[in-house]
Order: sequence, then C-alpha cells, then structure tokens
Amino acid sequence: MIDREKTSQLYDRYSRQLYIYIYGFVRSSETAEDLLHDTFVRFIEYSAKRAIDEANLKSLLYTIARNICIDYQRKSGKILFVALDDGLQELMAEDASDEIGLRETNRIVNAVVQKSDHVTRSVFIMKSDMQMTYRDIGESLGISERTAKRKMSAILTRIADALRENGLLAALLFFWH
Amino acid sequence: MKRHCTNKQLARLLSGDDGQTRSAAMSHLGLCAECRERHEKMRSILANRPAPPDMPGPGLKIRVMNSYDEIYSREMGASVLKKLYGMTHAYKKPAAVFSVLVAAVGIAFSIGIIQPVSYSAPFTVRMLRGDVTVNDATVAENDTIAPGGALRLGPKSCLELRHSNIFMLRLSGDCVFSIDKARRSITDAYVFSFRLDRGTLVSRFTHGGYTVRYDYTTPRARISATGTDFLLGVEPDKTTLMMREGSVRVMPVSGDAVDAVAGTVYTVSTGIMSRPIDERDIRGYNAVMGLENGIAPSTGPSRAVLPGVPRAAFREGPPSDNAGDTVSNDNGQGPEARQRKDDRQRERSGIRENVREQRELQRDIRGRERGRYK
Repeated sequence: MIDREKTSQLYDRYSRQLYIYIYGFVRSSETAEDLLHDTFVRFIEYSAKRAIDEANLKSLLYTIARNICIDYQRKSGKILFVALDDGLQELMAEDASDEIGLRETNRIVNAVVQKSDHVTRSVFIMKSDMQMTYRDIGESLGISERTAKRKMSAILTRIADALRENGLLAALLFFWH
Repeated sequence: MKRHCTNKQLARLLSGDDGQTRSAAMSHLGLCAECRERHEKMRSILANRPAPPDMPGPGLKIRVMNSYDEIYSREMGASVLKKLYGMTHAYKKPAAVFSVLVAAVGIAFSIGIIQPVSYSAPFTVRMLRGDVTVNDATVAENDTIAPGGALRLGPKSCLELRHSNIFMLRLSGDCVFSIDKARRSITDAYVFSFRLDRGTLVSRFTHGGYTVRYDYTTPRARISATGTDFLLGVEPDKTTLMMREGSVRVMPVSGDAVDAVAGTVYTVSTGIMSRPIDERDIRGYNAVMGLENGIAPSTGPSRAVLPGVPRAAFREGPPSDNAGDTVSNDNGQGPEARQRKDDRQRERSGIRENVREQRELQRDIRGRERGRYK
C-alpha cells in the first residue's frame, strides 16, 4: 500500500490538475471537490490491492478520475451540461437581441463536449481548460499524441458544425461554410 | 486550393493534426481573408473558455489524508485476518481441532459449566466532602463507582472509596482520577488498575487472605505493588510517592524502575529522587486522611506503623488537644487513657464493619453460585 507521505506528495502535485479536469466534466466546484476526494480514495484503495507503477501514476490518476466522473453522471442520472438542442434554442431566442456573447458560445461548446465520448471530452478539457500539450494529454490518458490531436480535431469540427447548423455563424460569429 | 476551407480543415489546423490537405489549407489561409477570420474566431473559442475555479482549500487535503488513515487501518486489519486464514489453511487438521476446542469452551461457558474467571468489583463512596463528579454526574455518599468511572474532585473536596474490606482509597483536593480496571477472580485474587492525572491520594490495602495486584498510572510513572499503604501526589511536572508501609515498584516513564521501601519519599520527575519521610510529609498524609480536620476515614484495613516514625504521628481521629473537649464523662481519665479508649472503640467498630462486609461478600458469592447451578 502506498505510504502516507507519498500520498500527500501526490495530492500536492496532481490535485490542481485533477480538480480542473473533473470540473470540466461536472461543471460544479462542490461536486468536483467531492469527486477529487473520491479519486484519491479509490487510488489509495487500489494501491492496497495492487502494486503501483511509478511510470503510470499520472495516467492511473486521470483514469480513476474519469471513471469516477462517469459513475457520478450515471448515478445522478442527469445531463450536467445544457443539452445541445436546449442550448441552441436558447441561443436562437437570444439571437433576436443581437447579444450573443461568449457565455452562450461556451454553452454550445459545452453541449457538444457533453455529447462526446469520454476520451474526446478529456482531450478537449485538457487542451482548452488545462492548456496541456498533446504529449502530456497522451501520457495522461494512455493514448498516443496523434490520437489526442485527432480527437481534438474531431470535436472542434463538431463544435463548428453545431454553430453553423443553427445559422448563427453567418450573422454572428463564425462559420457558414 | 481555390475553395474555402471546411470546418474539418480548420479544426485540423488548430489541433495540429497533420492531414493530407494541411499544407493546401495553410496556403489558402494566406490568400483568403474570410477563411483567416474564421480560423481566428475558431481559435478564440478555445482561448475564451471560462476560467477554472479556484482550488479547494486545505480542508480537502485533510479529508483525503483522513480517508488514507481509515483505509490504512482497515487494510491492516484485513491483512492480519488474511494471514490467519492462510495459517489455518496451511494447517487444516490442527485448525479443525482448535476450532472444536474453542466451540466446546464456548458451549461450556454458555451453559455454566465454566464460570468467567473474574467479575467487575465496584467501589462504594464511603465519605464525601465538596464537589465530586463521576463521568460528569454528581456523586453522593454510598454511590457505587464502576470500572471506567472518571472522577473529578473540586478544590477542597475529598472522597473515600472502598471495596469490601480490603481496599480503601482517599482522594483529596483538586483531583482527576479514573478506575481503569477493578476485578476479582474466583480464586480470590483482586486486580485493580487506576490512573491519577492530578491531585493526591492515599491508598491502603489489607494483608493476608487476599491476593491483590494493582497499578497506579500517573503522567510520570507507574506504581505497581501488592498490599501496602502509601500517599501518591501528582503535579504537572512530578509524581510524589510517600511509602508508609510495604514496598512498591516505581516505573518512571523514562529510566530504570526502583523498588520503593517504607519510610521514604520518592519524587519522579526527569529522574527519581528519594529522601526519608519528615514531619511535613506526615502532615500531608494526615491532611489527606482528614486527621487534621476531623474527617477521619471510615474504618479501613489494618494499618502498620511506619518504621522510625512515632505511631502517634499517624494516629487517626481528631488531635489529642481537641479530644479533651469532646469527652466530658470520662471519670477524670487522662488524655492517653481517653485515646486508648477511643482506639478500642474504633477497633471494635472496625471489626463490626469488617464482619458485616464479609457477610455481604459471602452472600454475594452464594448468590452467584446459586445462579451458576440453576
């Protein structure tokens, strides 16, 4: 089992990154705190049963955090972000006032992210919210750098398409091609 | 590339994903202001993401480390069980025999063939002055104090505890005292364990007929003995032991144990220091025993006279100069004769008390035996 001092060091080193990562999933700071705690608890329990490979520590922590987020969403039985359709309807309603701001754009982005698979979602959160390099993302998620880039490219395309499909881009912001 | 860039092409450029059309898209961006603008705006989506929240406070780390401690203790317990299981698995036959024996002993206990080796021996409050609480509840005379009771005496308070006729304990002043263990086995052995965190006490056990084992634990030392009479005082930085009779073993928190002998005062602080008992010590003893203010202990176990110290110094009851005031019809007897008479009366009273308590004890044992063979 991992010793106490090591656990304390790991918390100091990874808690901030993990917290932002989890927050990217749940969008609630209180829930993110609880899930970060659960992440470490599950990690400690895991270490009591199996030997921890130092090289894969970071990847293990992110995997546990991601699984905890998935479990949480499954158990809570609700969509944590604004659903894509709802978000866009809201966006259309506000379109008339020509005051579509950054908040609404982010709402659509979040809705698209929410609909993505967990790995893609992780890549997006790590790249956009945590400013990680693709190499770090790949190491953290246990995927190749190339795969991380492809996942990011795919989700950016979906975001652009979502904005375009709602006819917002021509009038407001981005893409209509 | 003459056509405008697709969203996919722009996304690839942003993500750094190398596709076949990447170089063509890059060259198109250099020529097409419209696509360049779309590319910049798409980049702004990533740049303008909401800032992540502040990190949780140190409370979360404390929660995590507390959880670590819980898991650690749980896992260590499970590990011991696992090892035991492994041992029993490795030695199946002996383990089976052992299990049968354990089960047989359990059944014997449950149907009364075998009696438990000991039972709890409560203490009775025989004398009380001032404010005394046990586990935060107020204490009154004749209350019984069970093992586990934590006594607190206010300043200028005193209390006498008795168990049958074999043990008397007098606590005095601002005291914090607890009874950790008080048992009597069916072989007539008594086992007591106390803790004195603050204050002063006099402890007295009888001789003969009983086997008594007891320990007093203080912040600085442990006192272990059988059947003796001493005063024990605890202050924050030292423990003082005044041996009146018998001998005890003093085990300091650090350093070697010492066998304390009668007529000596031992002070345990960073080390152990000893000196002969002097008049001031005797006054202290008498103060705790209530001999200076007329609060004499109830008849207690027999006492011995400290070697080298006059018996009168430890005499119980009011001082002799007060005795003359209380005795009016002594037919002109002198103070010494009156004192002898008082002693005789006290002795007779003590014998009566002893007999009564012995009968109570015998009744108690008979009751238990009846219960055993029901």
